[in-house]
Amino acid sequence: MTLDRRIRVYLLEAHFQFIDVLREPLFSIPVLAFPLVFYLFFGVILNFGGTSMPMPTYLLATYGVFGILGPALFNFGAGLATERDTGVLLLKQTTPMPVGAYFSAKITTALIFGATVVSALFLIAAYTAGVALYRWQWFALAGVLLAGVVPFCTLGLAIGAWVKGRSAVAIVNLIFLPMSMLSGLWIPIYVFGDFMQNMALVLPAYHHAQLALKVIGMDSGQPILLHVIVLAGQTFIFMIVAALGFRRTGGFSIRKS
Amino acid sequence: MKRTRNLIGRSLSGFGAGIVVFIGIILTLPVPSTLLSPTEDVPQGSFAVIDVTVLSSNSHLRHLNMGYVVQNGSAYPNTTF
Repeated sequence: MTLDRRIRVYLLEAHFQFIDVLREPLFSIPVLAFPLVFYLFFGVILNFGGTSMPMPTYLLATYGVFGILGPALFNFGAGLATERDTGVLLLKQTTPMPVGAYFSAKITTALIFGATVVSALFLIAAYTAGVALYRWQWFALAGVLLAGVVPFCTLGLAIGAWVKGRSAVAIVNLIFLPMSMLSGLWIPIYVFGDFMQNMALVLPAYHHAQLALKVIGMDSGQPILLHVIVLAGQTFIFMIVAALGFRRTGGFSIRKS
Repeated sequence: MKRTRNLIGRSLSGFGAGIVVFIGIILTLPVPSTLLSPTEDVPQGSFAVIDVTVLSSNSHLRHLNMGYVVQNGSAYPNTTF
């Protein structure tokens, strides 16, 4: 396959997957609305300290991570499992489409949804909670948040490779909600006891949130390199888990052309 | 073939427009200097002078901890209640 044709296939697959997800309101509405509603509630309405308190700024970073986590986990985890069970994945494998087009389309879709959530969160934080950051901080925060799509998509991939379509949403929720809570995405991590704070150290969402908080100078003080290494290591482990899952179910044969 | 090309063109232009809107939104967000300039909220004229040496002894503990009694500049545990 020539490079020109390959790029076309990648673009078309991304286009159709995005349209497919957009036309599924049971996916798109909760994924877009949950972080915004939660931020409005915890960051704006329950902002007991007034706009001078750093709480809305802190929660902007953590709810940004929450907003990225949702589309990545559900689109990959639940989406992949459902497509495998309904035979869509098998149908795609009968076409000459490279397997990379399927994955890059899913990542692009998660990225578009994530960018939509992040920009809406930024607007709410700036104009209702009075959050003001330096220009470089707004851009850096957006960049760090969107970069989180990669580790979370691989986590979703690992889940989708192992679970069945009917149980996928439940399993993803079972990981998504406790991980969000324990990583300090809903309420600040320092509210929890020592045991729960230590437990957060193994969660990818915690390390991503710490990187986002580092941009606004509100992290817990661990080095950036630690968070990056942990996230990279976990991404690698998730990919191995996903590969093992595909080998078990025979879900994907890697096509090189 | 032409239809596919149009579809790709529309996708690419939509994606490009999305990036432009995203960057545009970030550019409209407030920065600290636009909210409060250094000269704002600074009263003109006389200023109150605060004696900071009042905090140099343990006398401030009187307001902080009900379990202490301050005598002669030193704090002792309050055993009277």
